Amino acid sequence: MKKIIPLLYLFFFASFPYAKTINLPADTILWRQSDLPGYQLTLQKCSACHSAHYAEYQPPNTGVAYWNAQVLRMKNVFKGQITDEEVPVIVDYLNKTYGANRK
Amino acid sequence: MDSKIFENRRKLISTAVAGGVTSIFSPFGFAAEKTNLPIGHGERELIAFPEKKPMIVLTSRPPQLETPFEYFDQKLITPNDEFFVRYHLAGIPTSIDPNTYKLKVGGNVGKSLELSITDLKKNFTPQRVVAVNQCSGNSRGLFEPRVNGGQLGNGAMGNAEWVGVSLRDILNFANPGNGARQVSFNGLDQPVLPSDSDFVKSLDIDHAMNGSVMIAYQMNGKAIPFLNGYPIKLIVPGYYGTYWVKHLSEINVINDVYNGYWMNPAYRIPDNDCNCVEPGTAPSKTIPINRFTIRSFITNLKNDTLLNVGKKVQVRGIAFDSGYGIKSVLFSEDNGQNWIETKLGENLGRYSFRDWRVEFTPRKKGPIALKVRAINYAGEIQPMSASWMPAGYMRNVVETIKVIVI
Repeated sequence: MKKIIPLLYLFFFASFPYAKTINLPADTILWRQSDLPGYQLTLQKCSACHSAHYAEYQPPNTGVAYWNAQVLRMKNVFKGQITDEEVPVIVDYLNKTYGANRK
Repeated sequence: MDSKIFENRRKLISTAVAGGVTSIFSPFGFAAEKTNLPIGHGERELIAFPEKKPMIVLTSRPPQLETPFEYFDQKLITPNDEFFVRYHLAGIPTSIDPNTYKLKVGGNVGKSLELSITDLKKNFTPQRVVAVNQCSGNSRGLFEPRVNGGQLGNGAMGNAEWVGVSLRDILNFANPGNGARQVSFNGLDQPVLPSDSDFVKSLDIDHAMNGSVMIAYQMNGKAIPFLNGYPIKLIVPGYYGTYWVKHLSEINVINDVYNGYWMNPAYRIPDNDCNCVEPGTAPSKTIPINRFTIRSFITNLKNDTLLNVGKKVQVRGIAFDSGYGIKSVLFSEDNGQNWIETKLGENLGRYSFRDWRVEFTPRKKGPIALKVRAINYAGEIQPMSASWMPAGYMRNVVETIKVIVI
């Protein structure tokens, strides 16, 4: 350990030349298309904060209670711009499109 | 430290970072490679995010990346570009200037601090530790019955050499006041929409001051990758990754128990001896998740690997626990009826992966189940059957690999 200290110091005191910047990839998993009215709402409301992976990969035994709890969590904890009337519409789309009902 | 051991470690670690960063501005838009986790709805894409090799994409926004399990074979140190990524909120920084970066220390302290990266490196004694970071929900996808949440295989873990500053030294410099009970930690990531759900975690003051918790500015001899918390990250050896706050920007000493969303109700486990409940039920009382359970894995064989009858084969892998230290790793070639001791490899410290290896000769054709089971110096041993909790945390059942002898 003694040997490394001077080396570490040399490295530490060198000033940082520039800001570090990353470019993140675009979403590749998209919301599953549907004629249900909740599809368009999901595109607007859910995509604002996260990619469709969160629904896509839920297990086959996922039921309506989970989707309802999640939409309410997004509305109440994360302040997603979802009205009380929109909650069941989005839940209906998620429940009929993912989890137990995924095609 | 013995200099020969140190040389070996340097070799390990320089191997770990070699070829790490290809281009920070990787081009995207190619068709992603695919892989399958062995679970229902287990199809996954493999995509190379900034400073990363192709990783299993759990979610792309915010980035959550799982290490493909084959990356773990024969690597005691997980390379920076293979290390898993877990964010909670999509309001993540994408540009950070280390020259102007500040870590604020406040709350119930005698002296509030605003420390630059140079201050951290220059004014405090460097400390190093080799420690495993593991997501609380690592292996959640393997729970039976299945539970909701991030559907991870076994790859949301990694082992790295962290260099930084002891949190104790920083707190002593700030001088916590009477009545200090916890310390809270915030990073630059934030909710997309304004809310009280910022990702803030807390530790009891005694834990924060015990000398094991660190503020790291270096990972495997390099700057911490952006997606792992550049430029500084909280290191909480032996504790689940939820406490390892990335892009650490604010530390507060508080006189009560921090009760924000990510401490309560999120990241809670059943408050009982097994931290488990009957499948399908909810715990009546919970506590914050804390120390790792003990685990071990075979890294060089997969399910359905073909082995030749009568031909000696090496089985190898890794084990780790919450810091008591791995005492032994047992191997079974007959689905757990008989066990033999494996040979442990180099000890990089009690919070590190410990590698193990063993040889055996399959005597009979047909499918066989290989099992591996770790025991630590506190007497903790992996259970033969999996326990269950609704959040899907802390999985540590004895792993089984089913191979076929031909």
